[in-house]
Amino acid sequence: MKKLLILASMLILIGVGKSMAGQADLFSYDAVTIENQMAQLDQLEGYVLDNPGITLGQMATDGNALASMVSDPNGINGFNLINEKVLGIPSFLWGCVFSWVGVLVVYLMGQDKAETKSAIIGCVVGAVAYSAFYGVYYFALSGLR
Amino acid sequence: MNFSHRSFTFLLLAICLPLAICKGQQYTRIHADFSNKIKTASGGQSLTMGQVFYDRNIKQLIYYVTFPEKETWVTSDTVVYQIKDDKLISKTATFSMAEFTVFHLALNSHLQDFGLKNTRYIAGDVQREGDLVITTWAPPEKASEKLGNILVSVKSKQLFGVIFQDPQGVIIRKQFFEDYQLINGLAFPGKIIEINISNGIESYQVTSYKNVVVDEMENDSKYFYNTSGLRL
Repeated sequence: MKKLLILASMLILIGVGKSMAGQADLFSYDAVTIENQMAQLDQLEGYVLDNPGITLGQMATDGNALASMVSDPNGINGFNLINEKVLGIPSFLWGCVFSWVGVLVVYLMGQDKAETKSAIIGCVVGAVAYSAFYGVYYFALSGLR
Repeated sequence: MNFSHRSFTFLLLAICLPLAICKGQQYTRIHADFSNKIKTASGGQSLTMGQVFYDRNIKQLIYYVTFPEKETWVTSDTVVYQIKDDKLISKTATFSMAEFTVFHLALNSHLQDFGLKNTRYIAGDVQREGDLVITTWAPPEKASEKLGNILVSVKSKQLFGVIFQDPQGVIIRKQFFEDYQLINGLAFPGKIIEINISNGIESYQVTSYKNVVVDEMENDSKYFYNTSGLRL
């Protein structure tokens, strides 16, 4: 019986260990793939660093082959990227997670009444949740006194 | 009476000073040369280079872009301004990003938790695996149908990686902070790698920071852009 218990404990520990071990693996990436993907851009960056002040327009005018590397079909650029992250979050969450700032963002960004309403609901939900928490907290403290 | 007043002051200092030191030094300004490279899954490529300036008291994040074209991008409050030859090209509303940028977080010594302590995300499970300390941040319950967990890993007391999951636990974005530089005691990543994953297909972004300067006394005008007169 004792041996059985020890064996069961060991199996449980191994199981727990295995279930917890996976997360570190998530924090990995294929560095070689990224290096290969960025190879052309690295080349272009090197050229720009060697020619301070040069612009893409000038390179295109000069017929520089490197200029064609960044003629992307989707209009992706660093400036678009700044906004992309913001738009990735649903309006309800802007309100719920980021409170009134989120509502303002959704209103200013989209001018979409439905979206703004959703953000306001999110904001109210967040506020109510907070109030409820502090209400319970306050009464719990009062009860202890 | 005098003695007790002195004793009180001493006691106050004895308590507050170590606390202030433990809280970590706070910095005000940072500027750096940056390059941002994007490679999308569809093959689109982009290179953006220039200088970035940030003062945490002013809270304007200003990019002086030199490539592909000379432009200035200013993030102020909830608006991003795109300016060329002192003329406003576009004005886009956005979330108050400055406070969630690597610049603000680093200056405030909040980079380790990716600023999540200042949101309604809730820190849950903390695990040590090898040289990583991994914290799982869960969204507020009311938002859990739309937002997934965020996993933050710290290596040698420095932010290493951030993983964003969708509500089903599928990884949608990974960020890695590497090549830390120590400038006047401030640790700042020299390279940020971002992998966006959509339907299993990856897009990549690599941002590098060089010549990082912290708390400089010069270049005051570079840290503030007067946007009040800008009209489309």
